[in-house]
Amino acid sequence: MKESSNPPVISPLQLVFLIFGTIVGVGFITLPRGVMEKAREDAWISVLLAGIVSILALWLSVRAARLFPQDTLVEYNPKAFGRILGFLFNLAYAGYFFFFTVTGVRTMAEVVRAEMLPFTPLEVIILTMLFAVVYVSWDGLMPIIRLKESGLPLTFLLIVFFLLFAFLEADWSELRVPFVEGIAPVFQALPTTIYSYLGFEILFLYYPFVMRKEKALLGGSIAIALTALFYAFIVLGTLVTIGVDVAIAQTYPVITMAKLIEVVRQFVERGELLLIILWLPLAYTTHIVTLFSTAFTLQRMFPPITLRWWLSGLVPAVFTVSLIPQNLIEMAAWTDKVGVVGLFFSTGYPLLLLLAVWIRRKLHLLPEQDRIGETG
Amino acid sequence: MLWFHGLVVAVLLGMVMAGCWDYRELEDRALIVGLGIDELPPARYQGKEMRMYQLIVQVVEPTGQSGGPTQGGMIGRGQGTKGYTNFTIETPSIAEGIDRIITRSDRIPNLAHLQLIGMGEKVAKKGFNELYDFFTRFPQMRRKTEMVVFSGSLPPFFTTQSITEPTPALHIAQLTDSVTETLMIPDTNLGVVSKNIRGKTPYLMLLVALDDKKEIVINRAAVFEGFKMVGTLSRSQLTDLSILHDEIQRGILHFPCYGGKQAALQVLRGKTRLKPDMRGNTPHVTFDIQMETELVEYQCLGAAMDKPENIKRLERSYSAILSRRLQRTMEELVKKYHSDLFRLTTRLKKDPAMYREIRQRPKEFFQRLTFDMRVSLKIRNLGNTLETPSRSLRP
Repeated sequence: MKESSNPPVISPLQLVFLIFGTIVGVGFITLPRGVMEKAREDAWISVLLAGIVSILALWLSVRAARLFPQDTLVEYNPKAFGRILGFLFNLAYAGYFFFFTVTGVRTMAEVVRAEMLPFTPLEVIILTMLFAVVYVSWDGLMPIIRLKESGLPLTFLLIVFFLLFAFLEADWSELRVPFVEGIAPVFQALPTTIYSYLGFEILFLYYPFVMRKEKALLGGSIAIALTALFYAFIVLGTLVTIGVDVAIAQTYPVITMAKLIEVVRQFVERGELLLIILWLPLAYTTHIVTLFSTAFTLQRMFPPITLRWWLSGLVPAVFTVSLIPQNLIEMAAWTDKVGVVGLFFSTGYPLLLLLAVWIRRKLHLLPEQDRIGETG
Repeated sequence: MLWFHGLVVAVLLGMVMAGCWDYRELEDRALIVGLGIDELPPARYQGKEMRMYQLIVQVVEPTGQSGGPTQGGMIGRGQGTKGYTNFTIETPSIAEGIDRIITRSDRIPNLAHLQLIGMGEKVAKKGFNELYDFFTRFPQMRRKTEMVVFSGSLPPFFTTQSITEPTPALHIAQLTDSVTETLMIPDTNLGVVSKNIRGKTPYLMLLVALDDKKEIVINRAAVFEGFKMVGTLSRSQLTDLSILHDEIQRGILHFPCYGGKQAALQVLRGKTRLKPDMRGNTPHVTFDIQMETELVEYQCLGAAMDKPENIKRLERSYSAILSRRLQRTMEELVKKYHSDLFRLTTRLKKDPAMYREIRQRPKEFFQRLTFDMRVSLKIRNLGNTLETPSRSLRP
């Protein structure tokens, strides 16, 4: 079988699934801890605010991507920043998605081993996941998008339905009048919360393939808004079921919440296993996009090597690097660093790009007509 | 590249068809359903003076039907069709104790189905801080695991079966569960304990005892502050506390009439709302209690229930009695403990001023706290008869 030579075409609805499926992955299992440490009972407000900030960042990214509607970031970085700086940006972008995959896969494996398969080596869990990721990515972007389109809605609804059982144990008095301790804690929680919205920066790679580019912002915004509602649901659930003080002391607060679920005592006892089973597809759809984006960027940077070779080569690389952190705490430090880079690519980078293009146009190093074909 | 596809599919299928990597037959697992812990005198362990614990680990036997007699360290084992096996270990830590089961059994211990953690009064009074970390850290632990305090020596509790449940730990867990669901007693499981320890508020654990007939009874609770047991509550205090907590379940309320006779009302549903009010520097809370009940027994003979005004009179009378009782219980508990046995720290979150007070200075808050009860008890159902028999034995 050969790699598909037809360029992918992404409909507005597919864009929603692509972005939503990339954002919602591994992070929400630990999200309540980070956000509640600062904002306590107002954590759900921080989550919604972070969603609004992310939509603003998306708007900035779309504006930047619109400058070169027919190119991916790999092609327009050298045009905007020059060959050397452009190459370095491309490399950093590939590296970002590489480490996004590494941290995601390792965290996923840690959760599975801790809660589900205590005697299974991490290596086996990681390798199994990577094989499954490569298998779907083998034929390019469209199978990935179709997988998300067909699998995500059901998985998402099932996970929400399942977590509703935890709400049967809710103590609503855990909620508090907002802003009792001022608005500062709510804003202090924003940086860590925004990390959980990272993933929409894939638009820099796939914007040229979006069918109706004028709807790209709307599609992305819907995906982020859905994510924000889902995260608020998760944080609110954790708050009213296990409470703030317990949530901030848990390694995986959402798993702890799922441990409250018992459908008829001694019949369905281990609710967290069902949660993990439902969560794995969400984690999987994120790993697929991040690993594929790494390979896609590298393939565009070095065209002689095919996408499949890059994918095949990345499996041992991700596998090896993901085993370097000695424990979950070291892994969390890596995740934070990836978050900082992601924050740069979702806010700082589009600003730099807009600035660079503006300067280059003023210097007549770039033509003004790069928006041609925007309606694609 | 067809070969590659084939290879990937073969690898994936191989992994799936081989089952889980760590698959173990049920018979190869020691499913622990009950843990009993009590304090032993300190001992030198690996060269150091350490707190020592007696740990009873009850493992359910999948093929068993009934328990068996005590046999030294291992109780109820070796009879062929036992419902359980008890392992008794002296150890300075739970993890080490459970680990030692491996050396005494050919199975791998599994705590994912643990139903009961029972502490002896000695360890409860001295503090279970060294044990708590294991309960909350170990991933297999369940938040719904019942936590109780055993009054007296531990071993008899782990050999006392019921007619329907051959495994003693499961019997106690089910008893605890049904007691908290059908009587008016607050939940006392690991999740509740953990929440209160983290939130620095007092909490309860049911006190399990053996009566003269060697049957398990639960009619008191232990009060804990932090990791230490600091007192006990009677059955009626527990019921009152449950009402004040807004954990009103289908319990039965008793009201006196004459000569020790009683009227019994089954609670159908109820709600306790708090109305906080800062009166100058004094925090004041009004407990607004709405309760719907059903008359199930009326020993106060000679009354006719066919007139609405009679029922209204009973409702007013019982509301006043309950109100006085709750007021008295709360006064006693506040005076004795000066702490939040009433879950006010959580429930006053809606009142920012009072919430700040109770979080920052809980002891002072309870010294200054004033409160009153407003009870509205309604009799919604009279049962199958409108009349009660006459007081006179003659017709």
